[in-house]
Amino acid sequence: MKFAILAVLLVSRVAAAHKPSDAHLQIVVADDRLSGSLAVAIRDLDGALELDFDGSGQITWAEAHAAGPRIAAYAAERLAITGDGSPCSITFGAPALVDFSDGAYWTLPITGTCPSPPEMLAVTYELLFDIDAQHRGIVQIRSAGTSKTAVARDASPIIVQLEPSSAGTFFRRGFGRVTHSLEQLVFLACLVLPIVLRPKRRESAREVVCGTATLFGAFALANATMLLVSAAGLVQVPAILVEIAIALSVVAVAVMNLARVLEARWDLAFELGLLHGLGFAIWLHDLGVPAHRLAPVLGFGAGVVVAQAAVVAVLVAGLFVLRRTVGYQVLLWAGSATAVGAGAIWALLRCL
Amino acid sequence: MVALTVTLRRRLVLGLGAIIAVVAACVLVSGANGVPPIAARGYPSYAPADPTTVIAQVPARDPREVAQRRMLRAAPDRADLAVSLARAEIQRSRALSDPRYLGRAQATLARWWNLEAPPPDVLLLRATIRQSLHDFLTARADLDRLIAVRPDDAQAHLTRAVVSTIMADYTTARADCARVAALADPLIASTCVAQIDGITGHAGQASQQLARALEQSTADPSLRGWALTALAELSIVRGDFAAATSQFRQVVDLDPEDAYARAGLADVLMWTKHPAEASALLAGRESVDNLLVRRAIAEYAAAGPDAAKWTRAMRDRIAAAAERGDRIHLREEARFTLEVLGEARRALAIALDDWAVQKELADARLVAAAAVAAGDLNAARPVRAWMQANAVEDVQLAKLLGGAR
Repeated sequence: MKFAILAVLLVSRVAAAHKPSDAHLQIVVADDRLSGSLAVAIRDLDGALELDFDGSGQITWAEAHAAGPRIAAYAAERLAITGDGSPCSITFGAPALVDFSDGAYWTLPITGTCPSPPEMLAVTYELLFDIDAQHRGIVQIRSAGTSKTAVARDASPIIVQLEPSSAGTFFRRGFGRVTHSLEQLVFLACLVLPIVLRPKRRESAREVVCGTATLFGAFALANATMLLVSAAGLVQVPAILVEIAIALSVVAVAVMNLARVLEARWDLAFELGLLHGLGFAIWLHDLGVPAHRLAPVLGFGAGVVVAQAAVVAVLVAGLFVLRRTVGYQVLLWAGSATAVGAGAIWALLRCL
Repeated sequence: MVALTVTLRRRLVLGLGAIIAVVAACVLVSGANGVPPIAARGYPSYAPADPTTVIAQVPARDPREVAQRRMLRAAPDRADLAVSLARAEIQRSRALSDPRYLGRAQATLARWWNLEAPPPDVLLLRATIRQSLHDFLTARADLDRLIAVRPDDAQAHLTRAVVSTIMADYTTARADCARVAALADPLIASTCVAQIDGITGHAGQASQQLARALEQSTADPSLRGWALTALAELSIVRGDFAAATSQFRQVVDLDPEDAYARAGLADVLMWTKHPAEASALLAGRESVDNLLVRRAIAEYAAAGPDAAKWTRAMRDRIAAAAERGDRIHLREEARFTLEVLGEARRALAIALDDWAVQKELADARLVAAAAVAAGDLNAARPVRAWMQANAVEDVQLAKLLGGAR
């Protein structure tokens, strides 16, 4: 009863599915340079290139590695990137494996160069469509001002208008980085909360302004210095350590507020400024900063400092008005206590 | 001025900082550093030390298929070859529960895929693939066309019966089952009808008839497994979970790879308050979405050690599908959202989206459960209307919505 077998196999149930076939392409554009990676499931590559040389049903690392040049050639043939209409060169680096939720993927680092810094990037992805009509290429393109994910369903190019990576763009990103980060805002608030208290109770606006300028000047200077140093690649610290340390810095400042440690605050501000500069540099790196230009880094740094200055100015003005009221005391104590909790939670979340 | 009280130490620090900044600026200007390639989406990359490490399992190559592929490349017009290859891919996708092979089948038929009227064999496979991708409307259209040119195609009638049942067109489904009865194994026909009777208020009678047909049948194991699964689902409709458990168990024992029956068994175990047993039943089979979602729910219900792990895995899978732009796993997503995440409102919205596409009992129960949990019984109106129009009787639906009336 050959017919009956077929009938049941073909009809019975609606798919109880695995994850379908996806590949992941990431492109980071920084000026005229491209970087990124391409990850394709080993099972998909086997369909296209018969990696399973002995037909055993098991693909070993040796088999895949032997097919490495064929895989790279296959990818090179079916992946094209143009900037403003003229082709960009792409080269693939040494392959490695990455485990996604549905198994091992062959991952190729990509580097490339476009003839000029592109304003419009076109990515043509046509791997595997000829053998698997449900294959999708998930393409992510990033630059300083742009982050876009598109799904390639066929060989038609994915076109992305890039925001130019000018100093102005980076200034806006730096500004936004501060104003959109709750952690930054909480940190700055904790830093300036006791500014109207020291040395005795500050009475004149002049004294408050000078105190703020010294404190913030030290912080901003350290911040900008470390940003430059780190962006230049002179210092490299694992991102996760920096992020945990920054969360802990919120705790540290808030605890000092609660303990009324009011001396030597701007020394502390300088040291923590170095730490925060490192954090900004990591964020800037993830953004895809052009490797060989000073202007974007300066733009970003200026954005950060201007935003911080604006936040600090508003906060200090408010605190000055409130300094003799009960509200100020409540703000100092409750705000600092909340910040201790928040900072601890942020640090803990990053440890997980 | 406070600035004038700067100590020597502070001056030194500031001076050093300035010097370092200038150096850094110079390095930046000279472009001495490069941008290191980013890691793929934060997943760590690695290279196995041992060259014999198995990095992927693939179906072993079938020499007959290899030969056919070669012949098809030489003569790309030969629909018979393409159909035979595509059929093998579809069977593989069923056997491995891997949709990737459906895409391969579709690609094999690419030359005919977009034709208005491809050869009948291609029409049948196209309908099958479209049905599997939950594109029921176009699958139905293909089957209508196929049956118009080949009215005696039992496979086409059976497939249309299944698609029509999912779309709640029970009149067409019944007519197709009747045609199947005249053309194919009696057990196929009995199962075909029983699935419709189970929905439309005749579960008791359908159970008896199907059990009798199974007793008398000498059909092969895979067909028996299919019929037994239908019988187990009838037991669920009647609320007889003990019978359903033993029937699903028989299927799973018959074919351990049957993900559908295994999922059904896990459901019944969870409904009868044996979540730990359900979780153990699914362990190691989480690559299949239907099983992953139940594993996450069962671990969560049993407060098992892996609850967080599978919850995260399910979230990842939903995110991956969303990234791809697919919404074919709405049923799983709605269930997960309701039973693990506990977000009744959102689960209800997803369940209603699912109901718009497919109308099986499982979909109806999901809408009802989410509506009850969200305290919005009004939202279950479409399901209630469907129940009234088709005299649906289901123990669980009745419990949730208080009967059809």
